[in-house]
Amino acid sequence: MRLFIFLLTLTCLPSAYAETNLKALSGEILTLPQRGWVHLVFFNLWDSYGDTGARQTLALLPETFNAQATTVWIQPRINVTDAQLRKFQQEFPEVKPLVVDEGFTLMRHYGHWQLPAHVILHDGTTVFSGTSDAMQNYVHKITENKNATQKNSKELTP
Amino acid sequence: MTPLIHWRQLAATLTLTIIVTAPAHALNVDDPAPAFHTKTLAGDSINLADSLGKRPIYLKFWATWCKYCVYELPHAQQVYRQYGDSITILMVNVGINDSVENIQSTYAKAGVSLPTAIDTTGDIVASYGVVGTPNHIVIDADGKLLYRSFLATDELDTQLAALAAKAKAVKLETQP
Repeated sequence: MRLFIFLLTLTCLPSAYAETNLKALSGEILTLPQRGWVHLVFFNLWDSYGDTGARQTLALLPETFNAQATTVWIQPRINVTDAQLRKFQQEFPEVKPLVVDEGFTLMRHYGHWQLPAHVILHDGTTVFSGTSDAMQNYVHKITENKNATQKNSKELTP
Repeated sequence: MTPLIHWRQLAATLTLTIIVTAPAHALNVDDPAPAFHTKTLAGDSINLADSLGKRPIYLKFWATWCKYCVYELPHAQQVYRQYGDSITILMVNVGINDSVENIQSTYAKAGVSLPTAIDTTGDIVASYGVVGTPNHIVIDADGKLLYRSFLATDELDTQLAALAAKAKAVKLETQP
């Protein structure tokens, strides 16, 4: 059994790492880091032009988190064109890299169907998945934990 | 890194690989329409497999925050009134940032009453390759996608009228 799993792993591993890459709107291939923090932000462009969208939520997060996390913006492919997304990025250059979720693959993989939604990964493992409010609570909690117990460490821990 | 974490990461990576590399589902004319099971807001169970291949089906994907979808509601009501006995008609709310309360309030304002389901998981929306609202999908009596459009076009009306007429003719032929 172990040999089978080992052989299966050998077969899948090269493609697995190659294919976890996501393609950004810019055409850039994104490789999600397997170490450290990754913040996937599922958002709706049309809600984010105003003052209450996911952009504003991220701006309120502690700098220690934003500085350590690789943020990937994900827009599901509904009622939006690439041209509209590029125009949005021109307006708000901080919204990058931006991935278009074709066929709702990522949204459904992470079990989200409402926007905005957030997924936080640490060392490749999902440590948080939920709404903006819950995400803010989580990030503040890990930031406060770090301040209270790990003053000598620069890295946040889940 | 402990071996446990290593395997967990690997498993997560492999799972994501399988899902991320699955092609975006594009449903085109002549493709067999996917079956699904859902419940209407009125509590009626809808198993599309019961209608697929037996009678025509008209699905309208929409959302209450989609102004054009709301604008088209009277058209949907008229279609339901005219062809509801010959064609299975279902309004499918895409569910993203929407709710039963929003739908009920929108219907009340528009003065319409339509068989409606809300897709709370994205399963129906994804299986029909919906990328925008409104999205009209017509399925023929053989269970194949006959027509899809973002707007309530004249061609949509023509297709629905033809399907309803054909369904009525078949019904008359098979009646004793």
